[in-house]
Amino acid sequence: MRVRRLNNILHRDFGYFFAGTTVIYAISGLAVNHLDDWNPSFIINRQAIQAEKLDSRDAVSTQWVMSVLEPLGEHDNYRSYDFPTSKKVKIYLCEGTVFINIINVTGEYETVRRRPFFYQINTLHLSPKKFWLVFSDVFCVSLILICVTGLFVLNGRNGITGRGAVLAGAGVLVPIFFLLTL
Amino acid sequence: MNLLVYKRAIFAAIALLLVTAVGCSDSILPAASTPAVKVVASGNKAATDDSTSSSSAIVEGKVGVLLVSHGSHSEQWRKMLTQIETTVQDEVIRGGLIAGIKSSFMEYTEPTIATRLKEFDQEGFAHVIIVPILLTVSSHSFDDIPVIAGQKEDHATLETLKLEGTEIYKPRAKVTLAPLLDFPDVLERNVARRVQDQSDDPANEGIVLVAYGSEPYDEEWKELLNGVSNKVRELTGVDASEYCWCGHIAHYKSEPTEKAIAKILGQKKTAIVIPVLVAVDEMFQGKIIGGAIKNVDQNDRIRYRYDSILPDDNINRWVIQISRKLATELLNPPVTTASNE
Repeated sequence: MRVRRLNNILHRDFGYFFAGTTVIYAISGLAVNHLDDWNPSFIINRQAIQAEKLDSRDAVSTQWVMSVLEPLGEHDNYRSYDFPTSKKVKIYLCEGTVFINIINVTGEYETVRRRPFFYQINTLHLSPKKFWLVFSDVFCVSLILICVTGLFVLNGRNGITGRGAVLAGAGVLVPIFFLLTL
Repeated sequence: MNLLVYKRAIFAAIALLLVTAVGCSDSILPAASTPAVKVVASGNKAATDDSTSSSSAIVEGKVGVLLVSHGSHSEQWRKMLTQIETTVQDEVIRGGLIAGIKSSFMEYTEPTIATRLKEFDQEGFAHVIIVPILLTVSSHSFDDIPVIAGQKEDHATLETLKLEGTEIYKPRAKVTLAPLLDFPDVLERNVARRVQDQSDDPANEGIVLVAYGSEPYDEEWKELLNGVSNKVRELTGVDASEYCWCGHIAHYKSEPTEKAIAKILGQKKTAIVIPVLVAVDEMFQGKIIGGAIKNVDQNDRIRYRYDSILPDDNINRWVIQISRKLATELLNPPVTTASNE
């Protein structure tokens, strides 16, 4: 009886303590699970653009770059430009870039901004550093503890010897099924 | 009883908030208020962090070579890359022009570029020649490597590297970036050799080249693969070829490879599938290309070796040549004559 009481206290208090972190990891997990459908960390906007005609790569100048940036409203955000290949010029902005093909002067204007909330939680989830690394390790071990103690919260027909055994067994079978079939 | 539970919950929530705040204090600040690049040592100023506090003085003319590859979770992949360093080391440092050579990875594992650049600083190197072991232009060669080495600031690259937890380090040593592998015809000869190894009836065979690809440099990658295809056809006598992508641009899926193989099998009796990938990675050569072959009907008509561009003596020779050439240029810069008006 004393063991069960201790079990339930541990389950309850660890559950309370790690509730917020569990939600953070769960939301971030959902977000990065669908990388093919969206960028969970950045809001990327792309726009096709047409620049003023150029005679050659040598004709690329700050003045020409400004003529590209003016209609985009990025005049004040200009930082520098360089040439990734002989046919392309890349213009660097404070929060984006402009890529232009020198031959046909078509290009793409791209802005990259952090997706609020998701960028922060994804950083915590994907690249844990320093104290957060330690804390997230503690969190993982605690999740196991919460899970195991959760199995023994109740006794009787709704406990691990009854309904609990059926549900816990079914829960284990799901990943085993996918491991065997995928 | 209920009051006690609430008190405990509130205590737990406060503790959680505090720990979370410490953990993410760097990432929750708005971009504008934090420097995008964490430059640990800059220019010729003395290094300030622990890792470089024991750095020795710069030895003028001391040149080092840093081989940089993409990096992979695959140990086999990493071994193939570090093997280059082992193979070329003696030849690169022979003659004393270059004092040291090291290997590094851009992603996933140590030693990272930052780790190696710190070591070069600690050992007093004045110049570091970065030799990317990458096929052709991509965001990795044009943006990631220069940004990681503190040579350039690009907002999108900085943000992505920060999210990935990649360390950025601007060394005291001057950094020179070598051209990419597509500079000479190393790749064409490599692919032709690998096709010839599997070819016995060129008239009835077609080639499928599977490369990583790059979204922002799609045109350049197509040009590279077209060039390689044409040259390989000329060298091997196989007159049909297709190429496809298997990297990020293809969402790491097998379908593009399946389609390319099916196209060749529609024209020829046999398809020879060649991974135009630097080294062997279980995910690419195994899961993606191997998976595509499994899914194609009549896959007994496919010839496929689980191989890669490496190992290749021509690449080793290219690394030696480019390192020595750039070191010579660094130590003996061309003399410019002042105009007499």
